[in-house]
Order: sequence, then structure tokens, then C-alpha cells
Amino acid sequence: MSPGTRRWVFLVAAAGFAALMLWGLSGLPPFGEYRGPYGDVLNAVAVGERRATNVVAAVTFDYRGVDTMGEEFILFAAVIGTAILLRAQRDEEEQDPSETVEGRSAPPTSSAVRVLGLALLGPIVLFGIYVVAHGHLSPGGGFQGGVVLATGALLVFLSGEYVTLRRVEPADLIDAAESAGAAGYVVIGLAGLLAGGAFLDNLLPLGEPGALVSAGTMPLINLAVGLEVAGGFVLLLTEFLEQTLVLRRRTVAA
Amino acid sequence: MSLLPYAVTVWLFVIGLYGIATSRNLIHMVTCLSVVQSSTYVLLLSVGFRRNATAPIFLDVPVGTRAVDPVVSALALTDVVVGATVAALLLALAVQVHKRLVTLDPGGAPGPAGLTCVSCPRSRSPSPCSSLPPWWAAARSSGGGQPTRSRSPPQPP
Amino acid sequence: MASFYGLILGLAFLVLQSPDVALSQITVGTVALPLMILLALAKVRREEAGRAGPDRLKRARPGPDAGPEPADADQPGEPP
Repeated sequence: MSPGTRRWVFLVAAAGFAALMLWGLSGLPPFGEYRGPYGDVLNAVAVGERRATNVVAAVTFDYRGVDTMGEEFILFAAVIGTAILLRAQRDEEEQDPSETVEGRSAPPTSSAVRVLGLALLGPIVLFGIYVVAHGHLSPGGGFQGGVVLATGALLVFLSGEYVTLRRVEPADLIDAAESAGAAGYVVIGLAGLLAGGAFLDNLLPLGEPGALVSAGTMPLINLAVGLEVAGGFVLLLTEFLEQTLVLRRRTVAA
Repeated sequence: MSLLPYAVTVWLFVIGLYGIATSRNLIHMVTCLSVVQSSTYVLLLSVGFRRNATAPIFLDVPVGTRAVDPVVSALALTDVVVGATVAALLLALAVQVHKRLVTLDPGGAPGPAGLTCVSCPRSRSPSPCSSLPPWWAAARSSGGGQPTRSRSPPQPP
Repeated sequence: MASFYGLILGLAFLVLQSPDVALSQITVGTVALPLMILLALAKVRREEAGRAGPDRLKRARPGPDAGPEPADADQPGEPP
């Protein structure tokens, strides 16, 4: 079947699919009139029950904590898969990226970019830690704060310091942080089991809503997820950067 | 106009599917997959929306204020981050495919160096690599389908 | 372009009153995902350039003391 015919068959099928989907979706309640009971029940009850003012975080890490554990492990497995796929093959070798890149003379990073990048690194890491720590109070949490922290590492690369980053960044520490985050979630859950309750039971004292130390195990879970997401994304970043800047194919002897 | 968010969802889904079905580049396919995923986030959040309501965060508003649904927010929140990680895995696969098979074309058209395993010591020999499946080698010898190229190498002046 | 789409989507999530999802989408869809796409493209382009031959690349970049261009390009009457 030629690509043109394939395209026409797809367009016909897509038109039918779009019509059916739109007809199905129009059977939902009209946009803006949310009728479902669960949202209202949770909004009324969550702050009193869990002492967490961010109801979305309460749903993610407390009411439906096992789902989030599954999602975290999807992330973990995807990072492991990428690290395995992009490992140095038999016919590749590592070269120090400080040598000149063959065939391409990239202009050196301007001083303004370097200074600004390194000056913004501190505030970005601080902001990431703030987002992770206040996940149960204001919008944020482990997932968002972890990605913001990984963006700090990206800023170091953008300001032209990848060679320094590679020497300074302890790869073992990143691996340990990521694994500690993934395991920490399960350990917190098992602690609930050992204390006689259910898995991931919220057994620490709940405190007052609005305080930093409140909502029981939720700040701890936020910390674990933040560690894992930050470590995972930094690992992904270094894998891709190594592919582009460091790994070279060994020249095959003719 | 209460059907607009659902129409946007359907449009994003179909346009992403069109990109995947007619793609000639694996990396382009990963981007289209990410567009299809984003249509599901739009659908989830528009199902839980309520007019003149605020976010379900009660730090500075009293409990009992009209708020949107927190459950669908929670569903979409983890989905965004995890979807990007899975897309990274697919990009790693695409990079490795290009290293081994020289082409990024999902249709399997031969790249500039032909469908030989470039790390094989016999990569300079005219006979096809015996570890490839027979239909692959037959497609290469018969010219394959559309001879599109992902990017041609720099031509000599 | 992919960053622009991520930003627009993040703003749409903000209008739909979900700041958590908007924060996730802006960080991931504007920064992390386009960066990984660009790095994959850079790697693919480098592979193809390396496969075309290192000598071609050295000729494409004139040295600091290059004389006049070699007269094998744009010959009048040469078929394109």
C-alpha cells in the first residue's frame, strides 16, 4: 500500500473516530458544571481529616498513595531503561569533552550567560527545595519540586560548565539519591504495616493545618518523591549529554 | 460553546495520531505521542472544572469555598512527569536505532549506508548481514518502499 | 516550538484552576522534554556527520590560513 493510500485510509478512519468521540464526549455534563460527588466530599473533609491545605496533594499522597507509588516506579523503571539503552557500547569510547569537537567550532559561551546561569543556580535550588517541602500546603509537591531541582543541574550545563559538572558531580550520589527516594516511599508504607495499620497508613501526628510540620507522613513522602524525581531527571540529562558530548565511536580499522 | 474543550481534546488526539501514522522520523513520532498524551490531560482537567470556582487549595480561603475537583488534578499531575520520562526512554531507543541501522525512518527505508549493522566487522562487505531477518534483507535488495531519508549527509562541494 | 506548546498548555491548565498540574507542565513540557528531544537530534546529526567521513568535515571548515576557495565549486556550466 503506497503512503498516499495509507494516508487516505487513515483520514477516513480518523474522521469516523473523531465524530464518534465527540458524540460520546458530548454526553458528559456540560463544561463548567461539575456534578460528581467525590470532589465535593473531599474538599469538605480533607482539611479536617488530614490537616493538609493542599487537597490535591492529600489525594495524591494520602487518599490514593498506592497509585502514586506505582507512578513513581514507572518513572524509576523508565530511568533505568534509558540508562541501560544509552550505556557505552562495545564500539564506543569515552572522550573528554574538553577536546575540540570535530568538524564543529562552537562559539564559547558568553560571560553574561555564564554569570547569570551560575548566579541563578542558588535561587533555583532553593526554590526547588521550597516547592518540595511545602507540597502539602501550597501548590507543589515532590514531582514538581524534583523537576525544578533537576533544572538547576541543567542551568550549570547551559552556562558552559559541563566539563566541571562532570568532574564534580558524583554519579554515585545521584544514583543513591534516586534509589533512596524510590525505596523511602515503600519504607514509609511498610512502617504503616508494622505499626498495625494498613500499608501507607498516616500514622505520624497530624498537627495543625497550615503549619510546615503537619499532615503526618505527607512531608516525608514528598521528600522521598522529590529526591527520586530530581535524581531521575539529572540521570536522564547526564545520559543524553554524555551521548552528545562524550561518547565517540571507535574508528573501525579498514 | 460548552463543547469547546472536548473538541480541543478530539482535535489534539486526531492530529497527534495523524503525525504518528504518517511519520518518517522516529523522533518526530515521539513528539506526536507526547501531543496525544497532552490531549488526555486537557480532557481530565476540563471534566473537573466548575465555573467561578477556585483551586482546591485552602491555605488562604476558608474551607467550603467553591473549588474544582481535586481528584482529576491529582491524576493529571503525576501523569505529566511520568509521561515525559517514558518519552525519554523512547528517544533513547530512537538514538540507538539510528546508531545500528543508520536510518530513523519507521518504514525501514535504507539510509545512506544501506541496512547493514554498522558495528559489524563485515560492514564493508557487499553481502547483507546474516543476522538480519530475511524479509529485511529482501526489502533492501528490492529497493524498499518510499526512499525517503531522514537527513542527507553533507554533500561535497 | 515544542517549548511554546508546553507553555501554552501550562497556561491553559492554570486557567482551568489547577496550579499543581500547571507547574508540572511548565517545568517538564517547556524545559525537560524539549531539551531531551534536542539532545537526541544533536546525537543523530553528529552520528551522520561522523559517518560521512571526518575528512569531509575538515574540508567544510576552512582553516585560519586558508587561501582562496578551491575552484571545484560552482563551475559555470556544471550541471547542479
